[in-house]
Amino acid sequence: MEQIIDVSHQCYPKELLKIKNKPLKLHVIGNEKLLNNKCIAIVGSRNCTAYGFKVAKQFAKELSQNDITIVSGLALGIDSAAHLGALEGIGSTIAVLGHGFKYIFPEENEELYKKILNNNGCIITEYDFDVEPNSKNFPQRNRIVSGISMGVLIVEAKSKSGSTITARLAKEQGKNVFCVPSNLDSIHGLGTNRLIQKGTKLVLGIDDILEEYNIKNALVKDLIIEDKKIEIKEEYLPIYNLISNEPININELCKKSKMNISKVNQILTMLEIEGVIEEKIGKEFIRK
Amino acid sequence: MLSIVKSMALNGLEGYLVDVQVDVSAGMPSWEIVGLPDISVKEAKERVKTAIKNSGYELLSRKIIINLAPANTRKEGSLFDLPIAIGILIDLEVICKKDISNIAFIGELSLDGKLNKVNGILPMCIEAKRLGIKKVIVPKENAKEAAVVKGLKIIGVDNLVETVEYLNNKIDIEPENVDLDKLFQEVNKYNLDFSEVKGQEHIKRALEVVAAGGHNCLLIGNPRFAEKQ
Amino acid sequence: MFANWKSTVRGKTMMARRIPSILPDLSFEEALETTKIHSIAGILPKNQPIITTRPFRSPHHTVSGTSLVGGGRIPKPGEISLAHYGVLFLDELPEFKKDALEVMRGPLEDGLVTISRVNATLTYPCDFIFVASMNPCPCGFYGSKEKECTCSPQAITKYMGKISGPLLDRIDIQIEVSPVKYQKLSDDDEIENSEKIKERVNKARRIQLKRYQNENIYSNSELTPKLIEKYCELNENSKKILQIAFEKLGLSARAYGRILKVARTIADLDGKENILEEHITEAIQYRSLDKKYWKN
Repeated sequence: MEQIIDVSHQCYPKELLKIKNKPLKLHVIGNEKLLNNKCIAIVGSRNCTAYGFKVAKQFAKELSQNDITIVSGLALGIDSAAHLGALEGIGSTIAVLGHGFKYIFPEENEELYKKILNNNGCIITEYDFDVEPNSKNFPQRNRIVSGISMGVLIVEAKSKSGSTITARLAKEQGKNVFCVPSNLDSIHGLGTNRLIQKGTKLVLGIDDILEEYNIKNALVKDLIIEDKKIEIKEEYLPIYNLISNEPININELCKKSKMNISKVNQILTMLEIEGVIEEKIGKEFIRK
Repeated sequence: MLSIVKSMALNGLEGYLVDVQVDVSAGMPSWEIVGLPDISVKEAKERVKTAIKNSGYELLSRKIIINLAPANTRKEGSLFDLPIAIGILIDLEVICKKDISNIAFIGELSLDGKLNKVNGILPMCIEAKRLGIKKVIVPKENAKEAAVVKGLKIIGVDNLVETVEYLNNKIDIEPENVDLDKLFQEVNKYNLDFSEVKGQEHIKRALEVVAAGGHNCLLIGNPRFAEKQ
Repeated sequence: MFANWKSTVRGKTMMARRIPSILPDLSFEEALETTKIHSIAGILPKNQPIITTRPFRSPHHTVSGTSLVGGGRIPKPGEISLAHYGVLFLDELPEFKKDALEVMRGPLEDGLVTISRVNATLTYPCDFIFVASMNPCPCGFYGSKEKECTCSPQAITKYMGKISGPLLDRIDIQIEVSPVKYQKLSDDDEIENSEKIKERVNKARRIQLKRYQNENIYSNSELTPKLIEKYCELNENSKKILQIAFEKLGLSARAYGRILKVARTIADLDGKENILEEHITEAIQYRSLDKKYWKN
């Protein structure tokens, strides 16, 4: 259950000790050992696009698979994506709240809250049990998010948003800040694009983050091993061979394979069950 | 003097018989409709009065009482105009007294005596036939629809005068006839076809399954948009 | 070019409108009953005393509950009854008023609608195939290659949430309609016409009529959970496939009975007495939206 860790406690995050206005004590639920793991924070807009959500989740998942703990604020949007991605990876993730443990905010994330705890994650706050959620506390909370991490990855921030403040704080704390680029016509990415323009490191993949800390990406090897495992039944090959990493529509599969549509449907289901292909929106299929 | 004219009404999908009983007697001029009429039926009074006058018949100041039997169900709509007018004209001896118990009258009157189309003719005629009625007088516009019921003489009339002359044997009107078999063959074509849709095998197959099993279905997809070229 | 653009614009509507062309022909009794309803509503075409093709009704999304299910001061059948023995198509389903869809639920299940009046109750039949369409998200371009979707994930979830679970539970088949590009349309492969499809449909319907002659139902869509157990038995292999599919593909629990019913129909189209693996695997493709939109 809840425990209180003060600055003298051995589990108090070492990274956090270095910052100026550090909290004197932390309320912790869950696995307090995570607090001294290598951490990367992922933050961004609450009101993100599907693109942002996907990217944040992907980064979180891959970083997590490299044994890095993902820190975020349990808000909607990018924060949720970060936690979810981490849970899909190895699963260690820390959520930093801006209020007391009496509340779960936002309500939509109650399930995520439980999931984090069930997966040996950890939830912390500097506030006492019954402090209500109050938006003016949230920027304060962000100094802890960046404080316990080695670096902060920002995915989608509007200009002058909380996430750009976090970026400034993180730089003041001496942390690395990373940004994912966005479309120029998307207002959700204006802040991150602006940060990149001003010299924040643009990242295309987790390698760009890991190299700052001299960590080798452990993932590449695994992928090659997985590639070898795939064995497809011969009768499915005419369809499987048409599917690549570029999405292809079911009607096109039908036409190119010259197969009956019900047969195509059957094979697609079997390939999906075997986990070698994946269905995307619009009845499009790609290799997994 | 009392006259009884048969008419039909609707309850849901089924028709039922209504006896329109009209009594015209000397006394303080008045007009009363009983038998649970709703507003549209009560308004028949004004339409019928004016239509009779404009058709050239004299409507003397009399005491008129109309009962729609069975009196315990609510009557709606304007389709009792014609039977009410016929009942009054029989009482006034404009129409020669004769047996009309085999005939049902359905129709709405306009002020000039013309007969207007009413809704629900088909179920009413089906019930009329079941009850052994031989002939139904309906507005001309409804005649084809009524004639779908076989074994029933359907007389389509244009206006009140025509109806009176027909009942007085002054003119003869051919019963309406509809060739159902021909109709079925001619119109039994749906004017859209899947051969007009190309390259959507997946959806066509899914809809085939929908049609074969009577399944409900949901279509999800992006709307097509036109780029300005 | 413009004409071509126009004909592909409303892909979903275009497909839905053609469903009556592959439904079995109306029998005389069915035609008479449908005509009765249209007669009462006063919407029979002038030169057509009897309805001989299956009706296709597509009310606009501003429709009120009363005109959808029927009623009013002078009671009239609603759109669902006008679609009797035919198709009711609700385009842009999430745009419809929630209460209007709510009142439709019962009649959709029972095949008839009961309207209470001051001193009587009326019933109108409404046995129809319910077809609905919707965009994948509020802006309509989620997953589209042509234009970027501008909706936030919350907005998409909210949009999908507008379709209530109980209504979703009555939908057996989910189809994704992707736009076809003009170039692809010009291919001159031989295209099957509705008449040919209808022949197969008729055959499958006859099998169902015979199988259910003692059950008081007419088609696979009407199967109750009890009857599903009786008529949709699976062999061991099919059971295994279905089980793996549920685990791996994240299908929702409500999909289970639907997949069995649809597999039953596919087997009937195939002329097979028992549901085989291939019928199950095809049926699973018609629930693919569950795993993308309605995960719970």
